[in-house]
Amino acid sequence: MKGKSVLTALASIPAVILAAVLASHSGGAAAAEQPPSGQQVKEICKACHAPYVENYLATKHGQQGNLRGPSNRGECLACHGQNALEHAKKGGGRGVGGIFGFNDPKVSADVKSDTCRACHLHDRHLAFWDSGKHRKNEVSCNNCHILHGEAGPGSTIALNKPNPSVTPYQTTVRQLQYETCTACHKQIRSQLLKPSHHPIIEGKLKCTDCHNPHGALSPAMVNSESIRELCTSCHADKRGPFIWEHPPVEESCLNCHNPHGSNHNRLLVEKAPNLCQDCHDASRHPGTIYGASGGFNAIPVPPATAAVPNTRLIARGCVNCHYNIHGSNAPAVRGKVWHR
Amino acid sequence: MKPKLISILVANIFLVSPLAFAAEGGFKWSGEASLGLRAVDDKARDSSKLNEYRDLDSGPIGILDVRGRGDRYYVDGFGENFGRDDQYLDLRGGQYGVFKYRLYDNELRHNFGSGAGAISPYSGIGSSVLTATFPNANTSTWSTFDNSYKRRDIGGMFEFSGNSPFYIRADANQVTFKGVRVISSTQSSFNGIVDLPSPVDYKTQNFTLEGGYQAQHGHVSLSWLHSKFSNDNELLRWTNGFFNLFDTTPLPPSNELNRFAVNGHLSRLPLSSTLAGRVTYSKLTDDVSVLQTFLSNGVFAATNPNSPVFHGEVLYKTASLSWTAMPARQVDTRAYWYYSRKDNNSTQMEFTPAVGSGLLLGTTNPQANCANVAGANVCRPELFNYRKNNLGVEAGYRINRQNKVSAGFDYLDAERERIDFTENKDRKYTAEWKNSSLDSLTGRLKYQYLERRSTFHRSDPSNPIDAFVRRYDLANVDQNLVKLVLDVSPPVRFLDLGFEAIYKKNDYKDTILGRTEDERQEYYASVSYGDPKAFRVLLFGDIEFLKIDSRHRVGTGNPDPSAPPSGTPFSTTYNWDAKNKDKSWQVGLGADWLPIARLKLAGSLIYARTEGTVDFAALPSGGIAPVVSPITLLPIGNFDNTRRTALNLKGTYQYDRHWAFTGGYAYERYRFSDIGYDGFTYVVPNAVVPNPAANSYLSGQSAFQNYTANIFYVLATYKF
Repeated sequence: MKGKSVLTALASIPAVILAAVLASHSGGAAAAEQPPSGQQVKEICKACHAPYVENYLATKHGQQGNLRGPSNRGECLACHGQNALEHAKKGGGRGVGGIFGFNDPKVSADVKSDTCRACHLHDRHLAFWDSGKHRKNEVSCNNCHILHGEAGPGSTIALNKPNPSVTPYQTTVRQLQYETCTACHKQIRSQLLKPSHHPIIEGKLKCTDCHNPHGALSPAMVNSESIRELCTSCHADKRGPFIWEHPPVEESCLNCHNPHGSNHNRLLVEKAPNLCQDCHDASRHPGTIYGASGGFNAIPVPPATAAVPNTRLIARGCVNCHYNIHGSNAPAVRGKVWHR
Repeated sequence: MKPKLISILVANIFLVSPLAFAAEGGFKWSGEASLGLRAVDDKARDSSKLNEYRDLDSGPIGILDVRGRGDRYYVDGFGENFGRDDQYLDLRGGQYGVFKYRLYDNELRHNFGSGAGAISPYSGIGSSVLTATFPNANTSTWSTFDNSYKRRDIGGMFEFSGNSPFYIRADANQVTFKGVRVISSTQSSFNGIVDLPSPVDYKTQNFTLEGGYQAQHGHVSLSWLHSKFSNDNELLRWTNGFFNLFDTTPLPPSNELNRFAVNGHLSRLPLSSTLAGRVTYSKLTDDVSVLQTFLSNGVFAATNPNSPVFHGEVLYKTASLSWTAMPARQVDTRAYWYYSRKDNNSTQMEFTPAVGSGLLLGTTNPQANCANVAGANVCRPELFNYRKNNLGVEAGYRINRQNKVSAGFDYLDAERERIDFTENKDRKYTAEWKNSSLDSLTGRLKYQYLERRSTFHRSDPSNPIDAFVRRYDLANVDQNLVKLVLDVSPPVRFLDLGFEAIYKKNDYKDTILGRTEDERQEYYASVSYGDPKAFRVLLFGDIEFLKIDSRHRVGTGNPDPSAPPSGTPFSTTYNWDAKNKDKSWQVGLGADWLPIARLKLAGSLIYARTEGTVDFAALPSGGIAPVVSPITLLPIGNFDNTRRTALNLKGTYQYDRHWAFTGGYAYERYRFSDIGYDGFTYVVPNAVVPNPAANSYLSGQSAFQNYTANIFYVLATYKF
């Protein structure tokens, strides 16, 4: 009983502080019309939401030297609206006083994002937000960003990580971006964990190395004008120009590769020789069946009595011979069929 | 001159920032430094799959994370895996609204199939000349080499805006690849293959300069990218065991890319609309000395190139426009246009190989194949180019707060210089319904229909079969896609359920030979529960089915002009089909838990499987079934079959305000079975020419992927 009253007394401290602060700037009629200063707003909010205010003050948003930041635009009111004061006057509580809350499901994604864009509208990185898929699919800034959170190790921006990590052992302790993205993009999470993948779960590549989640004019919000240009920005050895080009390679790497992950080596969408045979499937050897009898444990096909592995099935399949499949500068037919 | 300038800039960043911080009162430093040990016990014939992108050598590990925050300045420094192959260093800082900078070093080693245990009959590995004496089936005499390359990306950025709407930014980085990469080659037609440990000495230097104006109602920016790729070894000379002569393989050519881009947007236009656009112009060039011959004795010589040098020059031009509007509160619309064009101004090469060179295949089209046109013996590469116009409209209508419907139409018209498909028109229709009638359930249902129609030309008129082949990347297709996404938040606090299903089917309706159909079914489900301040758990399960059907024709002859697919089958000439299936599934369980304020526990478990199969069937034609040995049609039951278990446990105890101690254990097990590697041997005799000179020699890449590993680590962290 005694303990309970101590707890009650402790719990009432923020309310007393809040009342005192409110009383301090509602002393006279003239003062009542004067909006509270940023410092006062912080104190008012801190009375009940101390951890959030402390975290905010540690971010770029909370720095006075950040002239465009909320610290110079009314502090908490810059994002939570003028009704936040009414909210405080009425003693707080979820939504009380009409405070703007980013977790309120009744507020549309556009309204939430527009609150951020009120300041960030001049930011060129958000220039194509309206054209992007995220806006169309009603994603708002707070779905990915934690505005009051502390950025994880090695990260400058606090990202939402709604779920515990489910990964093999990682040699990095950085907060990895993909964990934010795959909270929604479940298909991609599955692919990133496949045997053949880019080093994304290892922390060597980020989703934003290829995609712009803030909007882009290109399909899938990729960072380049075409898939080929995007891929060859890292894989510059595949750029060419080549004497002998492979047209599907030139048009889109996605014809043969799945960049997020695959069951097959080299991120291939299908295993060779079948992948190659889907196009090169008649005349000469591409039209041949490369079945299980052609593995290392080869089985002779009658009338033959001895068997050897088929070099079009084992190891890399077709690429054993056609190695320069992305293009070749070898002369004549050796280059044409990408042998050299 | 350029390196000197860069070093002055870098020095300025380091010098100016601390001085600025010192001048600023109240600048606070915080961060943490960790030091620990990692011990790894692996059981693997070849641990390169375990170490594919991770440096898991036992030894010390260190982490440093420093943050400085002031009223005007900030700086973040982070480093981990010091001195290891996957070292990562990052320094960022700046003055709010005035300038910012970044310097970084991101490294990794990509370990391929057989890592440090790879062997090769060649000596000189790492150089551009590989020599060997063939035949050599005695693998104990072969060279051991490290089948991996190290990638290092170092770079930096500086941006200045001075709290004004104008900004200027410069980015520079250099990516180096150093090591060995196993490529392969045929020694002669049908005569043995060889794995060639090829040197990798690549360097890509990128420099970007960007400037612009950004304001509330719009922005415009101009940028220039210069990217130079250099390869120290553009040719690989290697001993061809069949001819016992030096052979030659061209390696990736050095090249240069220059790209200019203009971006812009205008917002708050009438109808609450925004107009955004982008124009780019890129020029990619290289210069390649054209080989006269492959073999050192001149066999396969006389390719007679019309130019001793190939001047590659490709121009990429793109333009994009996007207009989004909200003419009413419930309506959002978007219209877009995307134009892209590739112009190929490269040297039009022509080769006239001698008839006896073995390079002519006797067809009549110099682009379809090296042709023997009236004795002209011409090989002429096509200068591939294209022009694409992509237009689309999308509209969404919010019926009420709970329901939104949207629809879209996308049209693509593409023309290209390609021998089989010169044009295609794609029409894509989408419809979507989003419903959140129930407080605890949000659902999204999407349907998409794509119709592609292409203009087909026979690539090789001399070959009748060619008339029936349609390559799937541009073949006529009807595509249906359905996607369902459900998010359930039951009235139990902290409980969340998610479900996603995707069905996609491509029907290559006019294809007689080639991929005829593919179908994907994907299902993803997850349940999460918990308060991040106490206990969280996530359980997910995914299953995916992929089916690819294709039809083919095997025939004797070289090529076989007398056997179109409708012809009567013979024992060696018939149609067949393949049904390739990939199934993969995985379950994952993860949790983090704060049992007491000072202790944080985290753990996860993943079990994943992939299974690939192929069934073959010989097809009747003209009512007659071909006589084919069942051994020829033996189905494949292991097409990249894998099983992976990964357990990851970690605990962190906060001893006091400054010290924390972390301990962890991870267990990983990976099993791999594939028709192309099970029973692997380094030397493979030749089936066509039973002659030791025609043997194949492999390096073991990808052959021994199985591993089991136990990983232990401890870490002491000091926070300041």
